[in-house]
Amino acid sequence: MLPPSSAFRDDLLWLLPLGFALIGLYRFGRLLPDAAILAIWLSTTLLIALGHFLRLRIRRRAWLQAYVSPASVLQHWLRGGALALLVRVFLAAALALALVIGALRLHGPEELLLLLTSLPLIAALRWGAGRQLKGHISPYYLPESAWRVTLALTFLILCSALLAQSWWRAGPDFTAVTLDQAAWHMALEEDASSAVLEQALAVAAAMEGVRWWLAQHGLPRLQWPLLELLGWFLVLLANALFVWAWLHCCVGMMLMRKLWDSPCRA
Amino acid sequence: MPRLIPFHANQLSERLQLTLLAGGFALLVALAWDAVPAHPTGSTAMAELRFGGKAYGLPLQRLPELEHLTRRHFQTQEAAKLRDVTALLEQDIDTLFTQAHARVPELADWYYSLGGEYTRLMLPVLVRGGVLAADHLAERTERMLFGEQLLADHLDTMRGNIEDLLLQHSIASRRAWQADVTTALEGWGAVIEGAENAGINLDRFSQRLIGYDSPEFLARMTVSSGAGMGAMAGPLIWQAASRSAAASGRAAATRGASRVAGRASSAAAGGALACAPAGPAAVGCALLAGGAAWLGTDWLLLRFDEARNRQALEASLHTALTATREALGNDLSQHYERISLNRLQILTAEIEHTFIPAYHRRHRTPGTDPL
Repeated sequence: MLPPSSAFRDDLLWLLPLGFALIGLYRFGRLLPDAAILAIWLSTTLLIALGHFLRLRIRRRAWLQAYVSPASVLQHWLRGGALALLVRVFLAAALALALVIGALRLHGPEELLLLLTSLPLIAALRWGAGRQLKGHISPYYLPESAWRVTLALTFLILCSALLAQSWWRAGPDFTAVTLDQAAWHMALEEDASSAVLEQALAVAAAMEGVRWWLAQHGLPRLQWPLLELLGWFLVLLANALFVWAWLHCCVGMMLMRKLWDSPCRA
Repeated sequence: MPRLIPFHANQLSERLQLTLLAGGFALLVALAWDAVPAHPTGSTAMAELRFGGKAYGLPLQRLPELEHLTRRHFQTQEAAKLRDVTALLEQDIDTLFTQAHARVPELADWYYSLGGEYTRLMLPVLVRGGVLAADHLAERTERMLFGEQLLADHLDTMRGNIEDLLLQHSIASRRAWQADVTTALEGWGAVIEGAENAGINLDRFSQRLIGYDSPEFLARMTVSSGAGMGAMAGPLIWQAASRSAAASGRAAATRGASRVAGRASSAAAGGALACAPAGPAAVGCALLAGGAAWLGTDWLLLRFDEARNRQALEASLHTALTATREALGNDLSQHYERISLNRLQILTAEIEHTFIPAYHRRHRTPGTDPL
């Protein structure tokens, strides 16, 4: 059993390359050809899928320990295999797409720095949750419980910080244009060397333009200020999916470390 | 599952781990601090833009340059406008207060006249009787110094002059910008014939600029320029004079009280000397003669007072005028600087065509328009 501080440092060391990858993607992603973009998307998919799958295995192990006899063949059939991995890969593919597009469309160094801050945050919360829950949760389910608490807290903190930034950041004024003008205005601003990436960025930008247009035209008509505020929060939190994908990418990286250290436990 | 490379991160020494972590995160922050995404060069994406009734096809990369040109133009113009307004302001205020300083002897003459003396003495009675306003003396002071007009009236005239200057400047600035943009568009882009619905309509921005040049908009922005200071000028100057009078021991009440005995005795003596002690006109004659003696005594005392203290009174009036001029000048300068900054913010927001949710929310509260 490694000392807790050592595990925390190890997690941070494994998360460092992820930080560099994020900065590299943000700065140079638009210059990459189709093949490079595809490779980045696939590797992100596999990383996220790995994290999902390993956590699934932990949950299944805890469930099997509680409900299935140790000598039963169900211990092997239900522990999580190729089919579970395949489903996780499909889910991870969608998250990876949101992550890659979101990383390329970050609104400046402020958001980038916020995401980098989440690296030590998630490592610290994971370590702290594991320690705090140790006396209360079964050892079979402890890792998964710690992950759930970590992800929930990090997601809340990160989304709150991004929401606060979006609340005060200047965006395009669509109050005097039509919906299609707003969508096209946003879509036309995107460019990339990769044609596939450019199309994906344009679609994402158009969707953002539609959200902004709807918010600027629809929300002021609401009679209740609280409802309008809630509406703005929902619009500005549209990148929550990107945050969720980012966190699962971090989880995948941290679980890959454990896999690397103890491959037989996978 | 055999490990390809038998390596544990925990095999690195703790110190090396910490060094790697510290260096790694420092490098991450440094790289992210001013990270700018690189865009592919040679993009052929074009934007359609409408301006001056024509449609232009412009490379997308030129749009930020157009925005920069516009922003820089209006920043430069606003700075020049503020310089001209400040110069006009200084000139007008200097003229006004030079005339006021020149009229200080006239005010001092009134102060040491019998009319002035008795106005001050009788003021409480006249105010109670509704003949004069409570601030009559302050208003009289202000009118005598500023040419029979209140300072606030002069400031209204000045504001009108400044509004005319702002209007001329704004119109010239807008026309210069339109000429610059037309030149830039003809150099960067190509005219598209028959394009009805261009993507970016700069004519709309031009229309808004015309709105910002309107006299009503300018009047709304420049209202209350120094009105507070102007309204306070008369009382401030009068208070300075009164303080000076009190400091030299010549408070009107004191002077009046000290003269009462003199007046009474001299009036009685004058009446007795000039009129017969008895007869039908004796009382009237005594009253007239006594009154003349009263006034004569007062006049003499005023002359004595003036000889001793007029210089101090004039000095205090000059000091009060100088202080008022400085405060007014600072107040008005700051006011027009705020107006200029406010207008520049409005124009910048129009140029960038931005929308900040927090400010949009604040617009719902009356009277808190951040722009």
